[in-house]
This record gives sequence, structure tokens and C-alpha cells, in this order.
Amino acid sequence: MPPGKLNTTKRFAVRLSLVTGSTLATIVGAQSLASLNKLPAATSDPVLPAAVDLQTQAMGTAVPIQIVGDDGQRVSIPASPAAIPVHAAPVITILRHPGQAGAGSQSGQAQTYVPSNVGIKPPDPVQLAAPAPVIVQAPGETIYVPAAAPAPAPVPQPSTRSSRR
Amino acid sequence: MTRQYVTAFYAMGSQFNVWLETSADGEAILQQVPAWVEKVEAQLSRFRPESELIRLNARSGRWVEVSDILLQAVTKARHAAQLTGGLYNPLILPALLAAGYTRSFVEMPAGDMRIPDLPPVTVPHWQSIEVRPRQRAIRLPASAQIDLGGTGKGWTAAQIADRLRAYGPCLVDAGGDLVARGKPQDQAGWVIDVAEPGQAEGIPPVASVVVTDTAIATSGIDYRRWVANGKPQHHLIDPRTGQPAVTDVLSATVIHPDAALAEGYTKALILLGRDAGLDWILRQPQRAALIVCTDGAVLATSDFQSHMTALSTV
Repeated sequence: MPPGKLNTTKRFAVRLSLVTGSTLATIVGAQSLASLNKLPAATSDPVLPAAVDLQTQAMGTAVPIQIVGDDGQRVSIPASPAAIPVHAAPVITILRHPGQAGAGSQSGQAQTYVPSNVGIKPPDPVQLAAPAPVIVQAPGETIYVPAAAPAPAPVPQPSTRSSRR
Repeated sequence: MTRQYVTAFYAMGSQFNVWLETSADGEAILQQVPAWVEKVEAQLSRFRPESELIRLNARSGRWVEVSDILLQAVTKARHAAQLTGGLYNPLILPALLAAGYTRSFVEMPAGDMRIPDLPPVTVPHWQSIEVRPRQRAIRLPASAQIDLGGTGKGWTAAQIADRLRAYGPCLVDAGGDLVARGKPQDQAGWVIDVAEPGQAEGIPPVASVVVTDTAIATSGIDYRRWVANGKPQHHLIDPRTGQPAVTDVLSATVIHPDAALAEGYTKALILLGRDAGLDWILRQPQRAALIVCTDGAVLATSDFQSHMTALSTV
């Protein structure tokens, strides 16, 4: 990608920061976008910075925002707090109850664990991690490379555990 | 042709396992890894009389010029202390020694050890570790001593994985703390079991997860434990008390992009206990964690479960 151009991820991140931030964050976002405005004149891709239209107002007042997408379409982002995406608070899942034997549940059937007298603060949406991709299958033949003796046998399956020999 | 290679060796008091997928000479590459780890261990081990860590500890209270390895390792440990609010604190060595952990764990005697009956050790604040990166210098508070066992293996695994990544996807297991770079061919990630704590081999795992380009670390009070003066001890010192942590968490597993920080987070979870630990981890930017409690319960955050959920779709 040529230097100075924005990829889809950066454009999305810029939009999200504007929508979910306060007026101050919006100003900061505007400043960030202004710095991103410095693009080569002869560019064929419609990009955000030149087309963002912000109205800075007093602190605490929601700011209407217009974003230009990749196709040149202008999109108005409502300034209402109701438009700010709300992510559910993360839950703790009980995989195994006290006294139960065997492995924890892999099926994801969640029984939500609620700690006593503890308030869990919902995370900021931008801090949520993306889910891991789907795995396919185990690797094929693995070639064992012996280390200098005395060398243990490699574990057949990678595993994490409190360190031991 | 790309092939997967694996090697295993003992280092840092643990078994290392290293997987590498490469079309290069995987055997020749992996045969170098023990020497890479030895170079780190020679600098960072508190069980090597000639190590740089020992020399640093002997000069506490003074500025000491150190190697890049020790500088980076201490800087990372300090960062882990900062992010855990000091729950992980590398200045615990005197407390570890007072508890009886005076030698490599494999050399610890079985049965009840007799150790001097000392008063609880006050662990200095982590912020008293001073680092001057430009001068490559470190100053420990006077009479303080540092131990990097809490983050050292994860940090080492990351160094090795970053070197191997040039040859292909790899997975470095440093005694149960793993770092993944890339993913195996035609797969979405490395499949890693979370071992049932305190159990021999062959016991089904507590859970299995899929990871790529991240680290997963586990700490626990299930293995490195002993009896001294008739009292049970273990190696996870609570800096707030200078004593082995009193906790209802048997082991904690964390997935985090930074291996040393993953290790630090596991210590924080154990020290805080079940409820406070889960509350704490859910307030962090990285919050993928699983704990096994002393009553056998297993709890996982939703972020950790997302790594498990991916596995169940196979």
C-alpha cells in the first residue's frame, strides 16, 4: 500500500473513535484526521480526512459527524448518545463446578458466574479483543530434532501448565 | 517443502519444547535453540553463581552497568509490576529464600525442611527499581535482591520465538509458558491444552485453546511447593505480606500478546484470589483468563472462551 493512504482498518478505527468519544475526544479525533489529511494530490481512492466535516462545540455537547466512505458516499453519524454502540459486559463462565471431575466444558454452554459484592465495569468497546479464528485440524508428520543429552522426549501436544520438569 | 520440526531440552529448571514449521533446514535451526536459551539463563539465573543477576544483586544500592539481556528482562519485569499494581514484584528474592526456596526446585529435598525461623520479609516497592536505558544501568534499592523467575521464562520464550519466526511459524514452550508466532500450515492456529493442575501426564486437559501470534502462560501453587519447619510453602510470594500467597486459586492461565505480561497477570490472579482476581482481570485491556480453584471449580472469561470456542468448531 502506498505510504500515506489509509486502509480499511484505519478508517474504521477513526470512525469508531469519533462516534464513541466525548466532545474532547472528537476534537482529538479531528486533530488526528487533520494530520492524516496530508495526502498526495493525485490519489484515486476517496479517503476520509479531506471529507470529514466536524463542528466543534462546547464540552459535553454531541457533535454531528459526516464521514465519506470508500465509495465517496457521505454518511451522517448521529450525534445522539443512543447511537454510541454499547457492548455487553464480559461474563465469567463456569466450566466446571466445585467437586466435579473431568475436563471443563468446551461447548461454551455458559453458566454465568457472578462474584459476590463485586461490580464489574463494562470494558471500553475499543478494548475488546477480536475472537480467535476457526482452527482446522492437527498438523501432519512432525520431525523430532534431538537436543544434546540428557534430553527429554518432546510433549506430544503443546500444553500450558505451572512450570515443572 | 515445509515440514514441522520439534525439539525438547531442559533449561531454567524446566522442560522446553519448540515447534517450527519451515522449508529451511529445521534440524539445524532447532539445534541452535538450547544455546540461545543457555545464553539467557547464564545472565538471568539466580542459581548460577557467575550470572549477571547475581552480580547485580550483590551491588544493590549502586548503579550497575548491565548487558542488553538483563536490561530488557528487568525492564519487562518492572513493566509487569506496574501493570499489576505491584502484585507481581521481582524484588521477592529475600522472601523466597526465607520461605526455603534456596536452590533450584529439582534439588529441593523431599519432606520437611529445617530453615531458620525468620520474621516476615518486607518486599520493597517495585518502583524502587531504577533503570537508565541509555546508560544500560540498573540500580536496586539497598539490600534488595531481584528474582526474574516470575517473568523470565515467558520473556525468554518470546526472544526465541521472535528469532525463529524468520524461518517460519513457531511455538516455543518454556516450561508451560508458550509463545506462538504465526500458525501451522492450513490451520487457524496452534492448539494448546490447559493442563489439569497438579496432575501427572495423561490426564485430560482442563480446556484447549487456539492461539496465534500471542502468548499463553500458567502459574500455580500446585507444583512448586514444599514443607519447611512443618509449614506448607510455595513459590508464589505475596509482596504485600512477604509470605507465600494465601489464595483459593490453584492455577491461573492468561492469554496475552506479551508473554512476560501474561506471566505477571497469572501471579496477580492467584494473589488476588477468585473473586477479586476475576474482577481485576476484567478491568484490563487484555482479559483472557482461566482459573482453576482449590475447590476444583474452573472459570474462564469470555475472551478466553473465544479461544476455546474456535476449537469446538472443528
